[in-house]
Amino acid sequence: MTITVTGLTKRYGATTAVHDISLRIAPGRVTGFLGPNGSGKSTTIRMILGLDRPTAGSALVNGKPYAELKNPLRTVGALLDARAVHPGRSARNHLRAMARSNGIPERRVGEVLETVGLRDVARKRAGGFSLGMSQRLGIAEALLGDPEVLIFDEPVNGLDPDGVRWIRQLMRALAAEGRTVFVSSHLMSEMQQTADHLVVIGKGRIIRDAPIAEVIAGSSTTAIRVRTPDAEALRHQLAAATIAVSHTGPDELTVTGAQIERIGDIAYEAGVRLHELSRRDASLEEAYLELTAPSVEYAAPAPGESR
Amino acid sequence: MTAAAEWVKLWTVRSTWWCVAASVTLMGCTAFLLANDFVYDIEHPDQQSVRDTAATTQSIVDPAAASVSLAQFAVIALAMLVITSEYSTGAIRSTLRAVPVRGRVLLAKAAVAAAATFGAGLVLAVAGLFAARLGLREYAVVDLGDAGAVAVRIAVYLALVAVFSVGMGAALRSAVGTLSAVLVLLVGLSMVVPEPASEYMPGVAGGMFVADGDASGALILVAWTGAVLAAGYAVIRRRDA
Repeated sequence: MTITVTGLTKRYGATTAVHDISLRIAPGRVTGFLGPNGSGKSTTIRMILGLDRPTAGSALVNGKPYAELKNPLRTVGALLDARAVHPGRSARNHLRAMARSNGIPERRVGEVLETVGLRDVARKRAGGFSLGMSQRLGIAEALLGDPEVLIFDEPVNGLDPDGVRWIRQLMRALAAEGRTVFVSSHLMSEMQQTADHLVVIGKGRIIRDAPIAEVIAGSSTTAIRVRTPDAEALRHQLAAATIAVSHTGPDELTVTGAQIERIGDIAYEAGVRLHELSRRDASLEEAYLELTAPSVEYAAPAPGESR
Repeated sequence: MTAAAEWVKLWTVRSTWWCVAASVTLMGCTAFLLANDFVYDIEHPDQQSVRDTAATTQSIVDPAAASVSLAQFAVIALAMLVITSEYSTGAIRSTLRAVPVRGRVLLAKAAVAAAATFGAGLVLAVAGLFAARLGLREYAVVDLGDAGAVAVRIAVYLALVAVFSVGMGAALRSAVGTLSAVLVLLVGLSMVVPEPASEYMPGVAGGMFVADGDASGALILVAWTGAVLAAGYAVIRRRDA
């Protein structure tokens, strides 16, 4: 099942939270939805789930608006803010009510509580749960209807390292079963280990929509390191070929925006001896910061930097 | 299925049980006190200053019917919490994901609140009638037909007030706002609107229905309830959750 978003826009008065975004979120892989705080991730997810009304455009799940799905919990499971449970109701009773509303057999309640490791506290009131436990309850709710589509909004918030690893494995497993997994985060490192495909959003616009390897490779911070006893000569040759040299040391250069083969060829033609020619991949973190730098909503000056 | 889920939700929070217990207690105590006042006036003729009737007996129906205006507050709280507690805790987003057709959610909540308060209404009516019988002692007039009829009227009245409160909760979302608005419409308006216009206010009309079985009073309350529920629907349908 595919999520198809077309021209989706959300305006609040003069502010545009989501600006004309179009996406196709495919099954069988984990699609990461990455962006700084306030970039429109949650608003987009709420519109997909029919909670917020788009100003323009549409979001379809398996070709239908969410509101037209019959027993939607059996098609789409979602984790939004973890605390969205009545604090006076037990985890089990919360899930029982959700199950009943969608004709889901009651035994699923016990199954999903077992899956997320909350069986022992199933009868405790949800108000007493830690953030990590609330998060697990939210995940149990998402899994309740055994849905083909899973949407997680910042699922690792409040989880300890064990929990983080657990949810990473869970998402990988769900995608491996052929399900559509869409997960938002502002944590790059998390996405790097979980996602197959990346959608980067900034200030309500899609900045990048590509396989994760491509996002990293396409970053200008993917640099080539050259060590040579004749750095000055090579720098001249590269400059003549309009290739940017970002750093020059006594016997080394850092080159960006050029293929490694091209640099090797230039060095060969100029007769410059090379001691090292290697590619330094950007981490997703660097690629992401570079992509979103112009669209960070709430920027603080770097420590030590004056305003 | 939606109503079944709402029924589970209603009875799996403590506030519902507290509200039912509070309404029954309020009803019993008020009815007993009113009955006791009546008896006191009869037994102390020298002290009576403002006795409005010369009657020397009273039907148990009278103190019971009069007590509803106080006991209803716990019922209003029960009904409005069905929806306002979901907005205050964020649970409404779970509810609307499970059932995205919002009119169906509102109707299910109204139906569940009505059913629960109708049942609770019968229980508290019986409690009020018993307390009245106890308080009136040998001055009590007991007619089982009358008592049964007033019990049903009390239950119907409370069910309508519950639907009224659910509709208001959907329109305003906040518990404090909802409670204030319901109190103003149900109690406040009756005090400030002059007669005969006040008979068209929901509180007065509902009171006439409970006490005398006045059919036009019931219709007026039904109309108010329908209007508030429609307003709640207009809001819940349009606004972001």
